[in-house]
Amino acid sequence: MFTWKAVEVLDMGIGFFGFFTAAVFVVTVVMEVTGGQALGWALALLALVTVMAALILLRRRMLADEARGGAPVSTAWGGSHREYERRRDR
Amino acid sequence: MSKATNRRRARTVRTWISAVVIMVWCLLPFYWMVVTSFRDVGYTFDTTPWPTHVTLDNYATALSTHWGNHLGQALLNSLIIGVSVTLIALLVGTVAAYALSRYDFAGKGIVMGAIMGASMFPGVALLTPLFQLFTTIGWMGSYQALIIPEISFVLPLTVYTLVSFLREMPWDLEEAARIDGCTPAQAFRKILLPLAAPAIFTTAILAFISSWNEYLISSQLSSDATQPVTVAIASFTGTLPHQEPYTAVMAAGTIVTVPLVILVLLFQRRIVAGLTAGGVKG
Repeated sequence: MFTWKAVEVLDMGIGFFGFFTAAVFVVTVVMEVTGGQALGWALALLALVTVMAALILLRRRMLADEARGGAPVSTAWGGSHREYERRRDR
Repeated sequence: MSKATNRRRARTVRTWISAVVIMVWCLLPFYWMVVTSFRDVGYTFDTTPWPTHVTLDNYATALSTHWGNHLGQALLNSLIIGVSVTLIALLVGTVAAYALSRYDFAGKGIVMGAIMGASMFPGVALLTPLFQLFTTIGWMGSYQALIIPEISFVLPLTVYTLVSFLREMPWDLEEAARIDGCTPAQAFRKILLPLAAPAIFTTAILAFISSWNEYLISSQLSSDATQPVTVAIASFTGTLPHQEPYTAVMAAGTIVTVPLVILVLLFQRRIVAGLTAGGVKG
């Protein structure tokens, strides 16, 4: 059965929040440039960027832990040819 | 009677009661729609649970163009839009799902997350910019103005369903094909696609149903000539001004829903199999 790796879940979280961060960034810039109320959008952007930064830092820490001999979190994505070769050659 | 038998019986009774409650909750609105569609106009709000004063006049009214309703044209429009959206979404979604499930590349997880984020973006926020865009380029009321936004809603569903299915497919066959001289594209086309046909079929059905039921974008971007059934039914007019022809609307709703119900009943096993692909080992 296919199981999610921890880093895969984080990657998807980064992509998910990254999409909304990009959208809110564009809205903030447009509101600022056109003289609209940009404060609320800027605060939302700040919150999203904070979440993104936390996820990216957590990802780096998990990979660093794995490099030091911790839990395997970053093996190849399930279903890929690399994962198939890894299992076949094990 | 032993305690274990009693407990088993009680569990079975609880399961059946829960199943009946859920079934009634889900099917009652549909049943009421069908019953009302067969009622005479004067008894529209009759609360008898079975059809009374049965008549087929409502179906005749729904399909008639005499009062400015064009259900037949709307059904054709929905079919054109649904088939186009499904075909394009499958074409793009299958290839995308293959890449996302079978290959490793930098940022793959981020792409998956972005697709998920895009699928959760509120559609109502896109209405105004789409309206402006299509008005500017002269596509308002055209088929493409309805098809393109609906593809953006259906594509994430297509990609995610197929990714979860393609992940479980064994690499052995593909590797054997490549050893025999197939290029990756040939292996995809000749080996993987035929094996993934059930999942692709299921995804096609889900995409078609999603497109068939779409109302928000269609209500704003369609014209009288291109409006789908969802918009046509919502704008049904009766014999008198400001009259809401409930029985005719129920009849139209039944006409529109029955093909989908038949489609789902015929392919329910494939739909369930496609949705649960990857959930069970082996």
